[in-house]
Amino acid sequence: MSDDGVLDPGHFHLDEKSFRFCCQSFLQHSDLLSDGWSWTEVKGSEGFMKKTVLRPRRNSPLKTEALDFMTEEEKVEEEEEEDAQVECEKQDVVVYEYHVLYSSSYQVPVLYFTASTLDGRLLSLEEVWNSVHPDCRTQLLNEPWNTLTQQEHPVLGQPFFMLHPCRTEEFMQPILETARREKRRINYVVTWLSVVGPMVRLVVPVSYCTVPDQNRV
Amino acid sequence: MHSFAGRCICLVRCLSILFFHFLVDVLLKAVGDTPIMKTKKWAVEKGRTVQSLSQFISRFLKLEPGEQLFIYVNQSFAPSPDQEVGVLFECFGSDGKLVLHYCKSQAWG
Repeated sequence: MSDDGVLDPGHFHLDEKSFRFCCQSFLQHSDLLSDGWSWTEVKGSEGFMKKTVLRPRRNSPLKTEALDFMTEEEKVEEEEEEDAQVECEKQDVVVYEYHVLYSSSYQVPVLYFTASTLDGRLLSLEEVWNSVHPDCRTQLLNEPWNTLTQQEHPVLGQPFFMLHPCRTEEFMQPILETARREKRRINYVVTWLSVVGPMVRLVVPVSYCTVPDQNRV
Repeated sequence: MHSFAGRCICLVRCLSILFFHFLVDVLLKAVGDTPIMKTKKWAVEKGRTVQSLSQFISRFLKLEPGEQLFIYVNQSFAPSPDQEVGVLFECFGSDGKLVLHYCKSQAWG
């Protein structure tokens, strides 16, 4: 990568230094928005971005995405119903933890995530698969087990789900080509995450792409 | 203006003003090798989602089942499928229109 941050022509991947720059910029914006991302650095290993999100399960009695959608009155009414409701609710909340790592073999960012219930039970691949955005499910349907797989987290060593990075360069290419031609800088990580995030219910607010900054490639 | 014709004209004007507030002008631009749409400019309901628009473009371009369509705003960002076009227009619209770039690629995976 040259000093002005221009990628090698003909290549649509990202080197590790640029990955860190992009993440730095991303994190600055996350702080502005209180979007909840943070950086984790493990000595002797790579750093990564992470974010934790709580959500009701898709087919749970909780109808909306917000856990605090009920007013206080309604909450009391709910509690006064059968006790089974309380047990049910614990099962119906899923804790998602998203990690953005750098893949040195593919030279692109990779999205890892874990999903578990509040009592610590990890969701199975099938359960996670069912939570993938229905419209994205059709896209992934051809070879789902290749694109959404269970992998050992490269840094933490725990089992995580991962969106396979083999097609990243391919979908990044048209955007990068146009940007290069027009001498526009974009944040590789922002663009990439905006595409892959929604597939696994990760929301990337649209304002990430509007703040001009220095750390773009 | 109290004639029947006059009242019709008045009604049409009112409806156009109403529609004006419910529709946004979207300009669709192809990226890479993606086929260019013959009609590029569309009036889209504010409440229409990105996913709905994406499905429309896919059908219009007659994409194969295995092909995926990506939509980008600001030439660099894929808005969430549930995002409303009206909101994107408010953030990124200029000269009275929202420019969206679309790109076709092989099936993910």
